Amino acid sequence: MAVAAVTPRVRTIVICDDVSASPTENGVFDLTGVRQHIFAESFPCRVALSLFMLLSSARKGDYTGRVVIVNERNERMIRYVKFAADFDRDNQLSPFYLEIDNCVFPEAGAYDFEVYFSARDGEALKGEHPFAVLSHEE
Amino acid sequence: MSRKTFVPWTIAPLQRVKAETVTDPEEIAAMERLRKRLKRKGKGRKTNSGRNGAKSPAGTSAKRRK
Repeated sequence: MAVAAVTPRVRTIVICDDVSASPTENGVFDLTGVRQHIFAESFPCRVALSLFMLLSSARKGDYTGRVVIVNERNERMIRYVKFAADFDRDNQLSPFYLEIDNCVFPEAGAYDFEVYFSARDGEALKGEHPFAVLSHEE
Repeated sequence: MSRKTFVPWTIAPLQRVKAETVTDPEEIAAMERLRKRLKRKGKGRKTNSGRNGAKSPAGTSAKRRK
């Protein structure tokens, strides 16, 4: 079976400042500072971001996920992190909140957050999210 | 027509995960290779002609009348 078919599916990607579980409703989450861009005072710009992802998997198991932040101008990776995604049972939706400290954006421009999952046979790109870094000088 | 069987999804509680920075040069190089390979595949799919990069089987393409 193809790698893409046996790895978790990325249903939602949201870049934000903070994520918390709702104190009043079970399974509801509060996302603070949802953003598609950031204004930088100077470069390199160092920020901490949170990545909220809703993942689903038809099969239970432990999977290794990877997030790569890519500068679209030169296709260079500026950050590469990995995380563990555990599914206790089959057909599970799993909300994740990944803290990425020290994201260093070297210049203003377009960036891409890419999410990969690996299986025995290799890796598959399962989700992408664009992100813009804007300069106050522009 | 066959009916899809309904499989109820269970929702796990919110998981807070600390990202682990990858610093191993071999792992970084492997990811670079994977990204290049996927990019090449993607280029094959998107062409100006609207074809997906694959050749059509022999005898299926329309021929111009002379």
